Amino acid sequence: MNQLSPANKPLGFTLIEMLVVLVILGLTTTLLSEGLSNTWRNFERLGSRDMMASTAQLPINWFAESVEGAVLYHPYAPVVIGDAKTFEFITTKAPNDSKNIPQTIRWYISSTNQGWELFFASTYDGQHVRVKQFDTLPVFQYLYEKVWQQNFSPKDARLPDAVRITLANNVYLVAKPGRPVLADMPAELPIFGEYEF
Amino acid sequence: MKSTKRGFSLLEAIVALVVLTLVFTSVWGWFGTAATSTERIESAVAMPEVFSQFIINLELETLEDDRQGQFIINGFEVNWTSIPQRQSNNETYRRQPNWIVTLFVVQADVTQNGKIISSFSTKTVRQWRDPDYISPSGFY
Repeated sequence: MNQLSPANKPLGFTLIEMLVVLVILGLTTTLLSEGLSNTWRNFERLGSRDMMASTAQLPINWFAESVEGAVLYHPYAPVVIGDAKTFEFITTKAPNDSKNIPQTIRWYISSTNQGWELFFASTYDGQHVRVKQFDTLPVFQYLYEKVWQQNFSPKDARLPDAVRITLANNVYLVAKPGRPVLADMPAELPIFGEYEF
Repeated sequence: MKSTKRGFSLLEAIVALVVLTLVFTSVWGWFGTAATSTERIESAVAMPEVFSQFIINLELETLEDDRQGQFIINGFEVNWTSIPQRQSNNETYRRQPNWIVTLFVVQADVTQNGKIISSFSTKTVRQWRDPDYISPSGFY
């Protein structure tokens, strides 16, 4: 039986050869699939990061836009109330209003048992919307006379030069009114004196 | 009679090794590209936010005296320099003699952990009162 002549030796690979080939194939396949799954995980992370970045961006956009649309309606009437926890003003760009109707809105920070939350309240529809959650205490600051101040409640009509939210000395966002911070006065007003608006 | 053909020849083994090596390097390079581009895209995703905050921060700078600075936005360091491109008191015709109006080109580099991630440039106009202006009538 063992003494086969070359002519009728069975064709094909031996068991050892097949085993070696299979082992090498298996190794390469595992290596490749490992790399492939790593790459896929990276891409998935990228997708979720994109989404995370845009959701993190939304509160900043809403706040900055509302401040950009801040308006004054009378040259003497104060319209802004601002302290470390609340910022109330009139804006044409409220986040939940697509018609750009001027309205008083309030951004405020309220503390919960998990941390602090930034809320948005509109006097137009009376809704309070939770916008963002923070782990460290967020503080409103107002740029006025070139200094960042904790309070801004002027007696006359003016807007702060800029508003920012800080988190333990890190600036979370900066926002700036798009219109002049002082009311537009007719040039004749100082000459003609009082004017009935 | 014993067979002379047992095992692979040297040539066959070398060819197999070369083919395997080629396949491995190409696939490895592909994975490497994917990894690096993932990192790049990750930081690029954060750039619009950084840019919009940079613009607001820059608007708060008068640029009259300070021509460079650094903002820290969202964990990124943004180093900027502003170069005056045109200035009204250097022009042949000056429409507002008591003001200096300047067009700046602002060049900014976004870095994180000492590595430059992105750089961009933007233009902005600033004005301030000319300290050397003397009004002929005594009024502004």
